[in-house]
Amino acid sequence: MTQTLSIGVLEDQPLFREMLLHLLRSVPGFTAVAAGDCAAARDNWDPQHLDVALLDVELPDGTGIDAGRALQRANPHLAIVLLSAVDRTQLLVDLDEREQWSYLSKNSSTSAAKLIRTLRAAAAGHCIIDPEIITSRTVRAGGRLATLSARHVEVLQLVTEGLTNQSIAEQLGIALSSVNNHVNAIYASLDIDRERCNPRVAAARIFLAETA
Amino acid sequence: MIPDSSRDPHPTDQAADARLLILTVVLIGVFFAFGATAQSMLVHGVPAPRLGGHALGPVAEATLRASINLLTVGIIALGAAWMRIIDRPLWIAAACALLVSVVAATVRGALQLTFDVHPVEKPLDTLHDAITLVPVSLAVLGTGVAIVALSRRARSADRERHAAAIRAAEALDELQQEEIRVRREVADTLHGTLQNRFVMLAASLAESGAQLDSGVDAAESRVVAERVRAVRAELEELRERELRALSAALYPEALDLGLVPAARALMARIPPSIPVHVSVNEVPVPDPLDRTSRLLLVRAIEEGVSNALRHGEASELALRLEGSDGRILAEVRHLGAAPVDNPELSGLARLGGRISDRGGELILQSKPDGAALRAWLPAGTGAPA
Repeated sequence: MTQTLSIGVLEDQPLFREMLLHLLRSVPGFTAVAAGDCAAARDNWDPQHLDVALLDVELPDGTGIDAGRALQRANPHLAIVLLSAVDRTQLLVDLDEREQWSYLSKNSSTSAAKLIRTLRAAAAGHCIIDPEIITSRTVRAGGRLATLSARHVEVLQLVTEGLTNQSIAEQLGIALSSVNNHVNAIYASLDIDRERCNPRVAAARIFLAETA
Repeated sequence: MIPDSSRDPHPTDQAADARLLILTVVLIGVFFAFGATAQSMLVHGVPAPRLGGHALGPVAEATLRASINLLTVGIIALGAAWMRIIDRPLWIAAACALLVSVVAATVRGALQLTFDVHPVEKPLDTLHDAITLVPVSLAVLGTGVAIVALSRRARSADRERHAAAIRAAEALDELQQEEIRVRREVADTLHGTLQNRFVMLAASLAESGAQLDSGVDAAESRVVAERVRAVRAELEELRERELRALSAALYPEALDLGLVPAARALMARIPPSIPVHVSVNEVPVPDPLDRTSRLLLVRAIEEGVSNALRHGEASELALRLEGSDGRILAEVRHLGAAPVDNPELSGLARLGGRISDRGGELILQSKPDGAALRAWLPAGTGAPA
């Protein structure tokens, strides 16, 4: 069955905006609207009828963060995917843990297929971070991440990218139970309380905060 | 007695105030002196005979009386200036004014008696005249003091305006100096480090090209491919490190997104071998700083980080961002060497001046195990940028 998704694209570069719009409208089941700045999105979009907002971070009259928050106030179920030419994943560190936003880099080898996969995953409630950003990071000395083993850091990178334990097991070629053990050990090392927050999002935030 | 913006008035100002007091007292006093002369001529007429049996004519008599009155005015004016009543507390000034008035009245009375100004059959007239003079003299002195007070206020306001204009000009100058410094830094990096590295990369690519032109076997092909990959990696590193650093020197990364994102972006550029801790407490989102204040706090953090890395041999860095009591605070603490006795603080001093111009403060504290650079600015220095 074709998944129907309604997507709002907030991007200030006209050519890129048009290309995104054209791409998304060509996907069966997808509908898309576009705006060039926060004011246009505010005036012309109905957040209740959107499933995912694809937002540029730096905009002429504000930020994608502010725009995303405003849209989520109107529709708490709206998924947000940030798209930026520069690595601004630090922005995610200070988000509320309920704000499970995804992040893609315009500079990485983000392909049309990857963008569409990310939009679908975000709409399904996953929090995806561009793998190229994650793998380019180095763990900073002196933090909690520095106490993890190399294998645990590798698993945490994949958790931060938004992969499920099953996908991690497939990617690393190990058993699902091993991945479960690794992930639980990581949560314990990072002192993540699984009762109080989404542990995958909390782990991803720690990864972004403690790498450079 | 008179409020003045400066607690200890400058001698030049004191002299000018004394001159103004004398002038005011003399001008009003002269009016009274001639008025009193005319009044006494009309009331008492010209007594005769007198001054050793010789009668004076009306003109000479009026001149005599006016001279005594003018002399009295002179005594009041010079006495008040000499006793500096404009610089004394209220009650001392009032006592001095009374003293001057009594002395002037006594001298005048003595002269009137000496020159038989009043008819001999009315000796009490001299006493009445003297008693009347005291309140008139006090009123004249009071008027003089009030005029000096107004003049001081006007001067103080004028100087404040002048000082504000100078501060504005200095701030502009500092801004221009800062811009020139940043331009020079960017130009030096472009011209020096970056240009050299581009030359090396171009040479490496040229060598690979020449090798390919002359034909290569499988082993050489791998070497060339490896060299091209190295060039690509270095270009990527140049883009990521050098160009981002240059761009940040011109305008800090993520500044438009808020203080916290800009500060985090800055701290993320510190080499990962150095432990960095960032804590954010009660900083409103979006932060209530205007763009200039936000820039100043980010520059303060940058200064703290670069000083710690350059001079402080930092082994660990901590950044604290905090909003409290209507202020936004940014503190960079580093573990390492304490600041040396005469550090090159010109950059800090410039920055400190700009921060205090906006009502904040920049403090460098030396600690036994390092240093802390703390900057704060009032929150709500403008609409969020």
